[in-house]
Amino acid sequence: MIKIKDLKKTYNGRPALYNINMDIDKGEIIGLFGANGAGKTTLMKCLLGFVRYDGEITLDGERITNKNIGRISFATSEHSFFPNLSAADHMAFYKAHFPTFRKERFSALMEFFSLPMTTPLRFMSTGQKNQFEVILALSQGAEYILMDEPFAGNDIFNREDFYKVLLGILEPDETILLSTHLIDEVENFITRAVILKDHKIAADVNASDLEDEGKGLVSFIKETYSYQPGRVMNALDRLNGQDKEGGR
Amino acid sequence: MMNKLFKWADERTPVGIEGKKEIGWAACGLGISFLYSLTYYFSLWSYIDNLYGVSSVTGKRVLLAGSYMPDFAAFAPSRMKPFVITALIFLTLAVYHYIYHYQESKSIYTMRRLPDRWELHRRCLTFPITVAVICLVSAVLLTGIYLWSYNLSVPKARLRPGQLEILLETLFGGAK
Repeated sequence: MIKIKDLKKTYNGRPALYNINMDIDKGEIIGLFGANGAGKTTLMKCLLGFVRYDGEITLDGERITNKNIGRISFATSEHSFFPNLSAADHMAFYKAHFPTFRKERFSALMEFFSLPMTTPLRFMSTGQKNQFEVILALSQGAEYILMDEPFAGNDIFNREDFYKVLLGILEPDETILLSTHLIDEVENFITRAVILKDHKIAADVNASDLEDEGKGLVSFIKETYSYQPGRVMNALDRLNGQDKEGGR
Repeated sequence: MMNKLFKWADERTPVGIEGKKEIGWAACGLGISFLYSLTYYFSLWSYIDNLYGVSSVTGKRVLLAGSYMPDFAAFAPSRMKPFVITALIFLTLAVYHYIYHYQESKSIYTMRRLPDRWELHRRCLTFPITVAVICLVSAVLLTGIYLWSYNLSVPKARLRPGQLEILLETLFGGAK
């Protein structure tokens, strides 16, 4: 289990995360939601030890260091692969560094998405790069798979394929922490939703509880964010009014 | 042998950069530095030649009275500058190796979450530092060889004793 206790992070004195307390149990598929700048990416960077933070993050009671970091994998829309290497080269590199690397899963996913094995990643399309990024994260053999907006730039068919594959291949003890803005697309398969607002956890609910209450995830997030549905119309009305006054 | 060297370099340069290519640059830098250092001999022969003149009496080549031979330290160390420049260029390459992990993707994320915590630094630093050390050691060895040949080839009558001490004093300001 990953345990986050009193996590705080500031960038040049400005808060990025404040007082985050959260447990991530094995087998969960957690959706991490929030507006841009809410702290989703920073939370993942803290988990991976990429940035300094205050508070405590432990994996099965131990601090996350190079000794246990292999139990966590990471896919990001920024991409973390090596652009000059081919998929086959990546496979060799990952096999050398992550003893748990799952070659069969890697090959199966590469075949499913019809990605070339010998073309350097830099020559692939954005969609293919995103697919490969996620394939690597899923094949590392990690128990905790962090995904930071992994489908940004992929078309809807591509994304749907991926959701199906993800649900098909995940094993019971594999855990996903998925940060995305595509709420309606993931609401049917996440088991828990964590919503960040103003750098804090504004809500942390089980998907089944929401279902029991008859609430949809999108409306729940809008509610948490105090979203005003009439906001856009009011703004447009105001703008149109100004135009008319200006035109006189 | 070469394959082993390329493999060694591949494992000590950032993932995706060919070790072979960096070996090529290093060989180029070292080669140019070595060739430039050989110009020391042109100066040495020229200075020695200027010590002599042809006697109008005997018609033979004789040491000119009052002729002057510059100290080794006066002209030899500057011939080693390309080695120092190559070493500095390769130390700068280490910085590029780190920057490389932010280009086109953030492969730094992968490098920083490897179970082997030294892999990133090994791949960024080992090769540039090795080349820089080879450059500096080459410069020192060649300076030793050139000093030895200076002492052998300069006529005793024009050889100022303590050339090594003078060199050290010139380089390090009084170190003996």
